[in-house]
Amino acid sequence: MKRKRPSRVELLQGTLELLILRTLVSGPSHGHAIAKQILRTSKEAFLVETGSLYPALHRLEAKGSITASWEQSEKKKRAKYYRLTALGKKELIAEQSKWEAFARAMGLVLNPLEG
Amino acid sequence: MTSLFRKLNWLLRRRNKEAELEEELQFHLDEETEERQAAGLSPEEAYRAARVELGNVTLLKEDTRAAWSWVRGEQLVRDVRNAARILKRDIRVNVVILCTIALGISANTAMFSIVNVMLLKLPIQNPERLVLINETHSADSLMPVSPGTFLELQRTSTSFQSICASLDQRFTLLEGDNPEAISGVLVTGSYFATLGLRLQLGRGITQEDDQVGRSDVVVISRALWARRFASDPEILGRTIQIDSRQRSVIGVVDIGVEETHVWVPMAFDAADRDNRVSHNLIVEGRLKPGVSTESAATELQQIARRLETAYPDTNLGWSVVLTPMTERIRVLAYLLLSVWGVAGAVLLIACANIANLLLARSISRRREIAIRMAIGATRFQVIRQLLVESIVLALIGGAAGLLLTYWGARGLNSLGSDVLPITVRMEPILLAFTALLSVTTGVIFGLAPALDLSNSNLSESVKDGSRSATAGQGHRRTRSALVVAEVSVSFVLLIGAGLMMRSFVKLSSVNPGFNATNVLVAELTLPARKYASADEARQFTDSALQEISSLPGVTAVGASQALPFSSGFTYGVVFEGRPDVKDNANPPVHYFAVSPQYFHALEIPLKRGRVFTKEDRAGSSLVTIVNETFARRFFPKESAIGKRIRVTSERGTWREIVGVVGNTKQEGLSTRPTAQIYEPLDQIPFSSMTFVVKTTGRPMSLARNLEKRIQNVDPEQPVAVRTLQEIVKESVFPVQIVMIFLSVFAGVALLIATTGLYGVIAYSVGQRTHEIGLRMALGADRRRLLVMLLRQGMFPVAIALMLGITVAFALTRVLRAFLFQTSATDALTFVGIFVLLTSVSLLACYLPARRALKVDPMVALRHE
Repeated sequence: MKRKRPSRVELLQGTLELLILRTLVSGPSHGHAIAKQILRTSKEAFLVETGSLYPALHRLEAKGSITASWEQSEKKKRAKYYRLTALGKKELIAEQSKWEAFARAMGLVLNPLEG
Repeated sequence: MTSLFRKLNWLLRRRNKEAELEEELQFHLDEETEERQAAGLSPEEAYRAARVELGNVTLLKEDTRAAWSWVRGEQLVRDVRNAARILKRDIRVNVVILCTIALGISANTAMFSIVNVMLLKLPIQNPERLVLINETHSADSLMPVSPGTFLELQRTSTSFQSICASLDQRFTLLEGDNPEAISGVLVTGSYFATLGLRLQLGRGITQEDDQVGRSDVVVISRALWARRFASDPEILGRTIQIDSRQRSVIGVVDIGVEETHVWVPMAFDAADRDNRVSHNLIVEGRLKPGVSTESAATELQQIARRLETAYPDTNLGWSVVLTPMTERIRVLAYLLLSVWGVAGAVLLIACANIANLLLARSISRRREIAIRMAIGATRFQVIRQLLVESIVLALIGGAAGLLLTYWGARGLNSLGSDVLPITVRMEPILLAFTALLSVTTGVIFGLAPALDLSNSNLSESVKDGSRSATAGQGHRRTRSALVVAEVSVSFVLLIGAGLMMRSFVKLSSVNPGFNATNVLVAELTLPARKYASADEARQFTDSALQEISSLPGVTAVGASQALPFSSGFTYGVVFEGRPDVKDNANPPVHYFAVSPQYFHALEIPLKRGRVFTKEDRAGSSLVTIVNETFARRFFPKESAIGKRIRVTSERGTWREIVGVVGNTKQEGLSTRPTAQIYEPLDQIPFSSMTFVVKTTGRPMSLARNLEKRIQNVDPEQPVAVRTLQEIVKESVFPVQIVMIFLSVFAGVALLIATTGLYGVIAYSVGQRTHEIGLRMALGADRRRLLVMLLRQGMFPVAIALMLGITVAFALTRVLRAFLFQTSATDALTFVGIFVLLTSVSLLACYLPARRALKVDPMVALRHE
């Protein structure tokens, strides 16, 4: 079977929030741009569904990991921009190290000879 | 803290957020469309593609909104919504559960209302310093106090802050054209201050009001104020007519349930002040701070001894004693709280029963819960959800129970004011109590099933699914234990109710010594201003008797200054030719002054000699009649007829005993007969008297005409009419009310326990349908199978009965005070209740067992 696009990987549960937080490190951004950014940096592997993106953004906002404000977009339109809070940064560091440990362990188990 | 604030802020801004989300998504859609257009699609195609990429917007919005919610609150709402859904699913069992809760809660809200009104809202201040003062003769029963003694106590005692006297009396209230007989009380000026009665409006009666000629004032009860005067705030200063006297209202008493509706000044006259023979005043005193009841009692003794020396004719042998008021309240509290204890037991039975039903149902939910836990619900979340379900059930049931109490009390009150001594008002405190009780109830009956269910083991349950998750051994044991508890508690309650019923029946069948059937009593007091001389009173009595006897439907009419079942009058008696011995020769006997037809109207039997005739008039020879107890006690070896006696107040006038009549009960059906003497009313007229009228038909239908006939003689004379039966019934009221409550509660308990038993048997038989089918297919005898099922069902019942008998033996002792000629371990009651409970249980087991055996073996075998 021939694929037009590079293979998409389904996001694991709970990882989307981590991806969002990481994306916002480079500065405030709106929902659409965040999705594109994730797609781009993952080399088109992670296609973030809109249906998951906005609930996740609002969940993070409710938790206080990110804040939102209405600002002008590059195209001079009103858009909702999200930015990382101090709490969000702390969370990002914790989650990222957790994820890295997890990924390392997965690698060790799956490819024992390479270790 | 900040996060809480943020969430709060969000909740407030929620409507706004909807619009914002809309805008945010619109922006996303626009961006996407633009991007696709830039990639070379036509505007329509670009829009459609962007729209597809966005996906299901409704779902998206819902998921997003979920992120806004105040997490915990939302979860609770979800649990409640869940609960409602699950409750709807199993409607039949839930109706049974709701009815059970309603009955259990209702019993307790009723008791709460009563206790709230009678104990917590007592209108008296600091009741612990109040004492009741009585006179007593040679350590006999306690008697009310005579006016002379009361005034002496008031004048000389130093132990009391104040001391007051009161006298219950019935009055006629005339408002508009409608005279109404109401109960009230004559009080001395110190009454309100002594009791510290709380007033809703105005002031109480004071010493200034309590004087002859200045006493035209009245204090009314809140109930009367509401009923007759529509709670008119301008009531103070208004004059109302009470017993044909205009009295101006000076206050409204804040009183809940008591019978008393009007308070009027006593206003002793000169004759009262020297009256030391009529023991008729209820005397209460408030102790000075720092004075003990013991030292007050000693002082009263000293005063009594002084009175004995000063007035040996009237006070010899009399002493004055006190009883702390709290003791009376304690008796009432004890009674109420024990009945409440019974209501609590009913609720506990209800809880056990519901827990049982929920346990039975939990089998069918085991898989649901197991799956929920497998996909990530924590044990706590599961328990919380199950408890919310129980609490929702309990709250609905509690609301139903509250309404049941409310309507029930209203229904009983509408039957007659005497049926139930409570009015249930929907007060905040009652609502709060019901809500709290409901939640507690929900937790109690829901906890065991919730803990049990949350223990579900996924693999076991899901695997077990095909055999509908059969309950384990431990599970069945829990349910049997609950049945044992229910049945044994019901047994104890039924024994209590049975004993009360037996007492009540015995009490009701006691012969009072007279026949109260179809007898009207008309009470009246001739005003001293109008009937100054004995002749005038005599004339009134004669004419009234004549008027009444000519009334159609009247077969006999008599008059008396006192009635049986009233505290009445007591006098000491002196016997001709016997020395005055302090302890024996001057004992108080109940005294009646009666017209000749009195014995006939009440059907009091003549035992020896004769009754009074018209010839026993003023001026003819002085005669008297005694009852059998009198004759037996004072003339044990000889005939009383022809002997001469006199009461202590009539000096030097010996009366000859001309007849002996049967005993009549004086202070209630349960009391022993007392010695009684009768004198002809014509020879010793009284201003306060009662006509007793024997009628042929329904007595109350004659009441109005009776009143008119009396008013033919004196149009201004008020009369209070009621039936003698009513008076007799009032005397058994305490026993009756305890019996009614206990019976109702025990009946409810029996019903609940029986349903529980039925449920358990039906369920366990249902579980074993397969096994039963197998046995039958293999040729087992149906009857043997039935016996086997019954034996298994009755096993917990047998244990419960043994337990119940043991506990009942120990507990029914607390009822002893209310029992009449019935032992607390009455064999008949125990056997009767044993048989009743055994047969009801057998039936509860038999019905489901028979149904199971009727099933075709093949169907049963295939049953899963």
